[in-house]
Amino acid sequence: MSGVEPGPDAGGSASPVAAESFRRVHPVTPLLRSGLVVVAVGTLLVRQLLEGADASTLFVVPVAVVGALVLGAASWWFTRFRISPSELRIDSGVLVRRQRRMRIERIQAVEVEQPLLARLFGMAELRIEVAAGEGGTLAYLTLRDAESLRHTLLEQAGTASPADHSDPQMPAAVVTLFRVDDSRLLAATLLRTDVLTPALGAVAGVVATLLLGRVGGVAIVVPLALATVGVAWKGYTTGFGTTLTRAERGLRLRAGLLDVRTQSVPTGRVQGLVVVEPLLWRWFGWARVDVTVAGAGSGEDEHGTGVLVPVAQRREVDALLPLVLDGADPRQVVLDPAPRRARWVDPVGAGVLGVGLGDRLLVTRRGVLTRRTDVVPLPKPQSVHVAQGPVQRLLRLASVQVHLPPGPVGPQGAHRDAAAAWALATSVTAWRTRPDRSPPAGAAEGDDLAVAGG
Amino acid sequence: MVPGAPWQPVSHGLVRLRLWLLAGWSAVALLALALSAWWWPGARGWLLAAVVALVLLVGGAAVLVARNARSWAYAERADDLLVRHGIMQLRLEVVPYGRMQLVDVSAGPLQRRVGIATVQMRTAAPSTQARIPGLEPAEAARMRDRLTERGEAQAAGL
Repeated sequence: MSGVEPGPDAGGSASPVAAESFRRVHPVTPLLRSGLVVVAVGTLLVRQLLEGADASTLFVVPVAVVGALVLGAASWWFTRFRISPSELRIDSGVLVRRQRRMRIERIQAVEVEQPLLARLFGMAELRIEVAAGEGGTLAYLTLRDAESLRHTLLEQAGTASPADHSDPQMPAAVVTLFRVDDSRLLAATLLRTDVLTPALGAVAGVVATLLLGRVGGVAIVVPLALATVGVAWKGYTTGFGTTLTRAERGLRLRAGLLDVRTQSVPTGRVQGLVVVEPLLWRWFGWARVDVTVAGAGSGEDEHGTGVLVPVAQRREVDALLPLVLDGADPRQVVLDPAPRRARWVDPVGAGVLGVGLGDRLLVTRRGVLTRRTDVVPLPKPQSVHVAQGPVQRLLRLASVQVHLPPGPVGPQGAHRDAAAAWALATSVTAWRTRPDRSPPAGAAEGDDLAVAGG
Repeated sequence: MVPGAPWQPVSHGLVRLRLWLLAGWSAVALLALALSAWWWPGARGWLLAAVVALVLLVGGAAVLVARNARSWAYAERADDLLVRHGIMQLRLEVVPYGRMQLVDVSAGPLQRRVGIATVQMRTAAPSTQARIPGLEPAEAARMRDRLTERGEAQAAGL
């Protein structure tokens, strides 16, 4: 590495705060970034060779590889970052220079991720998410550097509590709250509806092909089989080894078989969560938990505010939820079923419907095949919508919908008693506008049994 | 629907606008029918029937459109804004002031002609559908200021 610039290793974790000078990401970055190009060109080359090489390809390939490496190196050279007490600045771009400045206090989340290729080299990338604006990515850093930078940024953002000491290498006591059972994850993934449906289709296709004795069926079977494998593979590899630990401001999620991602789930920013129980899972008492976190992964579903627990026993979920909800326990919210007359409009689903308004949580349940239980901390709803169609009006019913920031959680109370629906719509909002907005203060109002955890 | 709230109706301009739009589209349809009558003289009987049907349809639609436009109402309460509309399908949106991130006032060319503007409230949830389409521009501006002020006073982070 260059002797003049303090490299990322030189800058090190010793005093990143004081390091006012610009730093670069790790010099192996261009290699990793070009890795994809090399692989692509390599496969192209192999194919060309198999099909009978021609001189031009043999010439083009090395040029492409060298070109990619040179461009990568240039891009690495021109990418610099600096952390000052007030802002994180990232400069990048070879021809068009780009300067991105992120105010430190606006930083909401800093995640360390390890894509497969980077992981092989012990590298990691740092994703920075900012309130109401574009975040940034720093890639690649050594895992140690990434962790220490993450810590520095969070500390400067003032979000790390003093209890969250120091050495990111040696987190004093990592309290593991949940660890997914990987074999159960495999079984559960195979029992998912979006895996089973194409699988059954493929099987039906095979049977039909055999019965009819025509080869044309392959055209249907192959894509269905690929879809099955693809969805199952993705579900399994992303959920593999999901571990939730206690962290500053909440939980920390680590998951992935090939690409390991770590993500913090600041409990105060959890907008809501949903416990999903597909039909087949219920036989085994399994459930999945998805969560909506404000500011996390906005715009990128891949990074996902999404899955918190890919699969767990119901009682594990029950134990975990209060930790995500700052001590409030959804089980203590009594669900009020939809009135009997709701069966006229929804003969099958009405029995499942339920809405409960607790001291700190709103809980709704719905779904005949895949049951969803949506849980929202009461101060979080953005707005509430009530709709009443003509038939509902005759039956004095109305449907309530709670709007949250984008994410998997969507509480709905279909076919409530109309008067109760108006009351609910107005009371959810009234709660959050009380002067005491901090959750524990709400305890003063009533028999809030749930604070014990906090 | 929430009887105790201080409901305010929207401007009559909204009714006029919707009726004008209906009239415009009906005129286009009539014109199309007239052209067809000129093109295919043989089908005039059918086309006459179509014209009668159209007139009846538009008459009925006008009543519904007017009632629907008149059904828009809003109520500014202490902590939240209520917006309701609909005659067959009733809809009510409740938005706490503290959740509002943006208040947009807009008025298209047709809206300006009848002297109304649309006030749209936005929150962090893209699904929030709080929109009042028929306010007089001055009232819309006053409302925007009022909402912004209250929003700031009661602002709550995410």
